[in-house]
Amino acid sequence: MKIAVCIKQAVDVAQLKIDSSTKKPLVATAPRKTSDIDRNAVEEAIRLKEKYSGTVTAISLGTEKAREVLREALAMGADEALLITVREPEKLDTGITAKILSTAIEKTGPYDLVICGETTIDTYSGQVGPKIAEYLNVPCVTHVRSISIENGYLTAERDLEDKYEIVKSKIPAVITVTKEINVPRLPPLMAILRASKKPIKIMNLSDLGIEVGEPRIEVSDVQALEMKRKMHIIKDKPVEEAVRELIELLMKEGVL
Amino acid sequence: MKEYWVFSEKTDVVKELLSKAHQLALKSNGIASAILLGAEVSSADELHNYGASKVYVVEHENLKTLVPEAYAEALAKLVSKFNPEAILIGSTKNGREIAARLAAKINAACATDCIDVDLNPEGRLMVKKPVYAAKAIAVEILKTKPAIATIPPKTFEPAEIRVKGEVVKVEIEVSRPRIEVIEVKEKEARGIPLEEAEIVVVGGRGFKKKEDFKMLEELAELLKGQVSCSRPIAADLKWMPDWVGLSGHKIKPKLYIGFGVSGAVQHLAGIQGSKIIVAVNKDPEAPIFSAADYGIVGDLYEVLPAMIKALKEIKGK
Repeated sequence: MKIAVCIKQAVDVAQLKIDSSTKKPLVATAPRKTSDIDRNAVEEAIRLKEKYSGTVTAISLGTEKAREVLREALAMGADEALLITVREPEKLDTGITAKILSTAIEKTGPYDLVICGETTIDTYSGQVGPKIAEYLNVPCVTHVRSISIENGYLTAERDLEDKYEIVKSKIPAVITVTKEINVPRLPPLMAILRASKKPIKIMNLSDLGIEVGEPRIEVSDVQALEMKRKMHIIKDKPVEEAVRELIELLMKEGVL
Repeated sequence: MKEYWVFSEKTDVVKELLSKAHQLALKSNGIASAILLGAEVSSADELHNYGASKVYVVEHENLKTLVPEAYAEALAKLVSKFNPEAILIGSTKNGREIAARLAAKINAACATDCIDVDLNPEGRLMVKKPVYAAKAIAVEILKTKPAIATIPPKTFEPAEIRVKGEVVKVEIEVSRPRIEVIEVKEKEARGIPLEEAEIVVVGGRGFKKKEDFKMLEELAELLKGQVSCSRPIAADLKWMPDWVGLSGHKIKPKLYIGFGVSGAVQHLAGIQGSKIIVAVNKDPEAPIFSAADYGIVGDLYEVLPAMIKALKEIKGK
């Protein structure tokens, strides 16, 4: 079975700082990391490979720096890595991102399964997986928390707001996975060293024959949300006293 | 006539979105319309009481179960027939997938999880949406026709707006979905939706076992509030059916109290609509303290029983 897994080098939102004078998030200088759920996607791809045999190709769209997330995927056990380089990945909307990824998938495929995270930590849109499926004209199963494959069909459990849904679909297909589907492995040092020697294939948009047209979405402003919290934290007091103080404060606020 | 469309598989959300679509329509001399899809659609005309001038109904056996690709196909066909300005879609997990597939099919701009929608001076859809785990709010202008915006449930209030209208039954062909739903397991339902709760007490990873959540329930009962939890408690451990956070319920109670919740950015993003945030955590460095109004640095296994005891005493007086 040939599996492609899409991973993003995302803005590490937990470490994103806000410029105190302009109130703008300092995105350009923020640290980047593999989007959390994409590591689950890589892990699931490798587990499926181990179970059903085959290969895993990790694909990322980003700057040259996104090699890092592909190295991580290779160290976890991906067989091949493909980086599609663009100068400013943040400026691409989810539609063009999916178009680029699906074109790369078509060029390097065919694949039996394409796996994405259900969403990325920085944009949280959940759009890219289903859009890739649309461009590839294959079924898409989103929010998957367990999956098995048999006789050309996948059976998956989807985690929706108010229910779990067991669905069956023919492969090839795209799935998007939740954080709960597995616990991503931490690659041992030897695997990390080996991965550093594996080649990463690089392509750019002209290799894929894609031109990024006029943006369909214009971001006219981004402002930090002002979290004006009182941060009145009670510490080093006996529990009963702390609780009494808290209850009084909440009564004064009129919320108790 | 400019049309602002609304679609959600949840009737409540259709009504909420209609109140916004109706405002957009008033601004541009257009109308608000609702789209209903299914094998058999009932009470379509009820939506005329919520601002929908037109209700487009597509009944097809391949729409019987909600499979996003089939719903997106039906919507795409309706779009090419009637050419709306914008489509507001309820931002459930299925709703976002429908929006994604639809946007890809018709080459439309799509903004997800918008908290407000308006028209700019050129009549383009202008949305506000949280970005970077809700650390910031972006204002985006969608430059396609139609433009698509997904909007979380409970973002807008439904409004009783009586309009004269018509139900338009549309015959279109919908392909048989390639995905078959073979089993549905409902999660336990709540009495009051968390989004409407006045007080929410939340347990996090500081809890050692499921039984200990009984303490939270006791506290919630005293406060006439609701109990919820952070994502790992529900999604990993399955102690509760649903959770609070960016990927779960985004709540706005007057009082939130988190016990043993560390405060991952995704969790904080789901609670920042709260009027007062209270945190109880052993770890003085827990990120939730910098997002809280009040807090106690202490073990929840001591603080929670003490709080229950103190509240009982107050109640007894």
